[in-house]
Amino acid sequence: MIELNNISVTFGKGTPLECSVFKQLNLKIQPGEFITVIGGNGAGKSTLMNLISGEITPDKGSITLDHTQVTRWPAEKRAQFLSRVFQDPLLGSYADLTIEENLSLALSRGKKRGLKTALSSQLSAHFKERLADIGIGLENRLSDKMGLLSGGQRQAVSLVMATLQPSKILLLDEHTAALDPKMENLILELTKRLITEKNLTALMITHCMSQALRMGTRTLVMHQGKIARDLLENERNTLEPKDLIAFF
Amino acid sequence: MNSIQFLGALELGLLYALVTLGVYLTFRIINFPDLTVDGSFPLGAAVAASLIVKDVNPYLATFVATLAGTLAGLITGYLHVRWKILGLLAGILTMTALYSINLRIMNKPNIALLSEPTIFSFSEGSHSTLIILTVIVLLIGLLLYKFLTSQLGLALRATGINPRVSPSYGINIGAMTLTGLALSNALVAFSGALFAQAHGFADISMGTGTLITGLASVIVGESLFRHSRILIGIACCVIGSILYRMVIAIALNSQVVGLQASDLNLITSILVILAMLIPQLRQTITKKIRQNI
Repeated sequence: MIELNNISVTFGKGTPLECSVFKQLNLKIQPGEFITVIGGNGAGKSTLMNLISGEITPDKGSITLDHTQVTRWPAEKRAQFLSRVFQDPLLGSYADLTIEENLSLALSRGKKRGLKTALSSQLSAHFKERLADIGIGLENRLSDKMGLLSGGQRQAVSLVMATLQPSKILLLDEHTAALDPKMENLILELTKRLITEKNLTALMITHCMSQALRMGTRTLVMHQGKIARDLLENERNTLEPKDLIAFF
Repeated sequence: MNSIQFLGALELGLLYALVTLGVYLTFRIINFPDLTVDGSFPLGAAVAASLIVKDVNPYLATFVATLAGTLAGLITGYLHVRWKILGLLAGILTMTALYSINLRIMNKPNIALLSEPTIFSFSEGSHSTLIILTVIVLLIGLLLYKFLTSQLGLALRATGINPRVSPSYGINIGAMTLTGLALSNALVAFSGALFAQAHGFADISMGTGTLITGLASVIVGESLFRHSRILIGIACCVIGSILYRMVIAIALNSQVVGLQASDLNLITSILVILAMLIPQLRQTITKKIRQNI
């Protein structure tokens, strides 16, 4: 279980541009929940994700994971229990490394990296299997550069990378925003399938109202640094996408 | 170019191949423009030479020299990682400090090693230095390849390619920068220690232009074969270093051009500038041609 307790975040403290994003924010994420987060620009969606991933440390409050204090842990230390897919397909992986090397890096996420060889035929077979599973024909392109793939293909590989290792939470930061509608659907289906199959806890930011309601088990509507609505299963079912917009 | 000049260029090329590998590690692998090398090359030579004249075993002296280089790299890395000093400046600071430190180590501007035992002196063959150097360079190249394809080495390369995403894969960027700089400067200091023993002296000013020489060799190597496979990258560094020395030897020895040995740094700088300009010039020219059609 991940808990955010009384979190306050202020950007540019002590400067004329001081801007308070969160005041006394509280959130509990139960294991197995798939939460969708929606909200306008500047609502604090990305800040929320960066708080959990450790890229931002709160000014006040604490973050705990299964009752362990992780508030001051840097991102690379938290990587052992969380995985991430970024919005920009170019940013989330290594364009100049091969698919296989990218997967190998993801496989040792949060583990101690030693002098053992990063690639082996055993690993290749494992990676091939995982890529074949997503069914877009990437299993024969292990030694191709990541940069040669299309945005959609890269996001698909990024999803595989994020789920190669068990994690306490999977963070999805508008990971379909840069894709065309067809690829978007494919990636969303894949996301849903991987999360269900592996029984993952996930937090997904989205800009699409219908996605927010259709996917997952719980929806947070954020507005001006507050969780304006926290919608659970039964409540979500009665809502239409257009109802959501009234909340922010 | 006669055979003596040829063998001399080959030997220098092999000696500086290790510098080239060091520069390749910082400039190409971890993407950190490290200028420490102009100080760590003479540091390696100074440490090795002053230990050898004190009758320390030359192998041990070379090892200590390499450690000194590692330390120099770590200092630059520490300044950059811990105190956020710009990478370029951190390198210059360490390099400048090393000038004084090298003088302290040697106690005088240069040390001659002519009658001292060195790691090259166990064999009396006419080409023994060349053979030993070849073996060392091949061995180091292989070890570096093994390292860069290991889990740790892959993380090191990843940091240079996309530092922003690396923490989310659990890669500590600061630690990787330190590792890269330590390894790079260890190689350069090792090269300096070998240079002092092969040429029989260590000199306070021998570091000038080390970085540019290494960078020129990297660029020459890349122009032969542009490929991102690590093994090819390493091989190109070694070949580039040798070729660079050959080109310089030809240029300096040709009567027609009328260059002197002291023109070396000028030629090297021009070579690097040209290598950086040519791709841009090529673009401009193709654009112009297209417009005219």
